Amino acid sequence: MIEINNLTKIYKLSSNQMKKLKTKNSTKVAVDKVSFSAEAGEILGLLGPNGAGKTTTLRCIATLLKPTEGSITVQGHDTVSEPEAVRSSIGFLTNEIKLDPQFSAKYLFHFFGRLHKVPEDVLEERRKELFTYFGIDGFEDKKIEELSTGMKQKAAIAVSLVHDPDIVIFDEPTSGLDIITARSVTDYLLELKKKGKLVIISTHIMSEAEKLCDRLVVIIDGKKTAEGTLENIYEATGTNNLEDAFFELYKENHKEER
Amino acid sequence: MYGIKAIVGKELRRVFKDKKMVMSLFVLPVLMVVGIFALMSVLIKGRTDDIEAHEPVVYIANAPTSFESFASAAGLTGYIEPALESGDWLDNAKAGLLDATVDLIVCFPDNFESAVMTGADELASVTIPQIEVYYNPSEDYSSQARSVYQTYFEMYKQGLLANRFGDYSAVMMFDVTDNQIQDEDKAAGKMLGMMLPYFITMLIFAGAMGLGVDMIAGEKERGTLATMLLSPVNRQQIVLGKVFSLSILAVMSAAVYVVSMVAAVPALMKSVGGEDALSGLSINFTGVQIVQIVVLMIGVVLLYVSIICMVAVFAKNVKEASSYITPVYLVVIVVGMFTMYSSAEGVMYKYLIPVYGSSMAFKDILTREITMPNFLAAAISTYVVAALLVLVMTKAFNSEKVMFNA
Ligand SMILES: Nc1ncnc2c1ncn2[C@@H]1O[C@H](COP(=O)(O)OP(=O)(O)OP(=O)(O)O)[C@@H](O)[C@H]1O
Ligand SMILES: [Mg+2]
Repeated sequence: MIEINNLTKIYKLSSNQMKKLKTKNSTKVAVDKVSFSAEAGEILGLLGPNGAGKTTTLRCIATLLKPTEGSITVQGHDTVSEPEAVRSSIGFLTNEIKLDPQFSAKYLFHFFGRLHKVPEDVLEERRKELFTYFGIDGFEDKKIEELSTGMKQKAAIAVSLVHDPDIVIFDEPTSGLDIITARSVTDYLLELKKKGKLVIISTHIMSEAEKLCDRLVVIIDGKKTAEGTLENIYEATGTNNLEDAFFELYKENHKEER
Repeated sequence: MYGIKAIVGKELRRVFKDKKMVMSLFVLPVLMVVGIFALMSVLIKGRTDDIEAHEPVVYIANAPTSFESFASAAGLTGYIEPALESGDWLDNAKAGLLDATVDLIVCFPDNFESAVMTGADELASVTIPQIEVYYNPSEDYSSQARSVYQTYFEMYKQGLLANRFGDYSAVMMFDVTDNQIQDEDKAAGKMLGMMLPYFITMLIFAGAMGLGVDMIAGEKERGTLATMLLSPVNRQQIVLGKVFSLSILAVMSAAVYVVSMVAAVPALMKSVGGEDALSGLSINFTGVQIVQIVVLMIGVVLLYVSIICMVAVFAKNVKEASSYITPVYLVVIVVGMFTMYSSAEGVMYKYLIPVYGSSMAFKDILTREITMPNFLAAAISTYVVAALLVLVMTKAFNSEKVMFNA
């Protein structure tokens, strides 16, 4: 379903960014020769500390960024040469990508539905289903800016699923949510998996990864350091929980700069 | 196409659902234009009424008997005859002109009466007498008093001439009547042609600038543009959707200005009694002219809107976009002003220059001096440049550097 081959993403830093990061390098290797694949019907977790390159990897899959090296195919479509085909098969959510604050959730759902060429009657039905599930049906006519953080996030999730995509990519979907709301999101992801969708999430919440993910890809400093089921990872690190395993991997692979 | 339609719908909705936006784009301009013109008419009318009602302070020194009898016959009263014995009265009166306590000073020479009463057959023995008039042109009351007294002196002179020659028409010799022959439409077109390109530029830019910056740089900054970039819609449709919706809004806001001006100016002129000035502004368009104007106007709107969008696309945030757009606005305004006082003189390549060429073509259409090839040159270059800008923007929308600063 998704094939990532030797993905490398190098950011060119502006002189301003170089000053902020206190570095003399004019480039930043955010993702370094990462390869993995993911299949329908599974939840794959990208696990890594802040700045590991999770968001960058997911943005490359979503065609928003072009790989500096390597390639990505989504359902056989290359993200660089056939970006539109890729975009119509994925639902993507990340913190930095937001819904227009001046519009209502209902209007935006229909707007993005139209951009995805979803027929009006199907759209109406999907809206009712998703809005009811996430409990936004009572707020659907309110402007996004008037909604609470949790409500905004749930509206964004609903909108990202407007075209019933086969592949769902959520970047830290539960960040900033209370446990009740977070639970309704993770439950929905399990639901999607049951329907045979491929779900990819990034997270640095170990308990979430343990409960939710069928397989994990651990990224540290842009490099893939482990891949497999929870058991595979426990085995490889000689531990019995994800937090310890993660610390082991981090100690082994993170080299202090300078 | 479906993408363009959806985006235009959304952008128009953003504006029309927002009471503040509607106020600032469509209601305030009307209130402003009507308010300014109403205020102007009240002020101008108050001023003219006041000047006419003012009783001028006029000194007439040495007035001869013939003038006094003329004045009483003509109903000219209220002037002051200074006591000539106090030698410094003239200096005092002149000081009065400066501090506006005196409006006019008239000094007749001593020999005036004898000179004007000399008969026609003894003319060789007299020199023409000079009446000295002092006034202060920077004081409205003084200027008004001078023009009133000039009329009286003319009447007085005619009386004296009739007296000397028996019949005034004998010395008038001839009269001159002016008859204007001109193509009224061309004359009006010339005036409109000077102002129109300039006004269109100002109004379109003023209407589209803030909106365009928010529509693109603002969305980029807020992260809402990225949401759109995730949809399978072609980037070009997103660009065109933005350009078209901004064009529609710019035209609407410019139209609101123009309509309220067209309504307010005649009312103003009427209230201050200057209707004549307007008669020269009526104009009849031919069918071809209308088509040419509409085609060119749409092109110009698209071009200006594309320029604004272009700046907004490449700016990192709203602040940067706003500071980039001001110099661009100034350049376009200066080019517009330049066209007011210059002419392309029918030289084809000049019509190909963007912004300048279309302004020139507008002028020539209104004065009916445009040729079809020159019109086409201006129109095609305007549309081609707008299209090129759209292509560059599409490229920019595909660039992660521009969109995500990556
Ligand atoms: N636009 C950019 N320009 C330059 N460097 C960038 C840019 N975006 C990200 N980076 C750098 O690339 C690295 C990877 O960033 P990324 O956002 O992918 O990490 P992440 O794993 O998602 O982290 P987090 O858990 O904090 O979200 C970081 O060092 C970051 O500073
Ligand atoms: Mg991230």
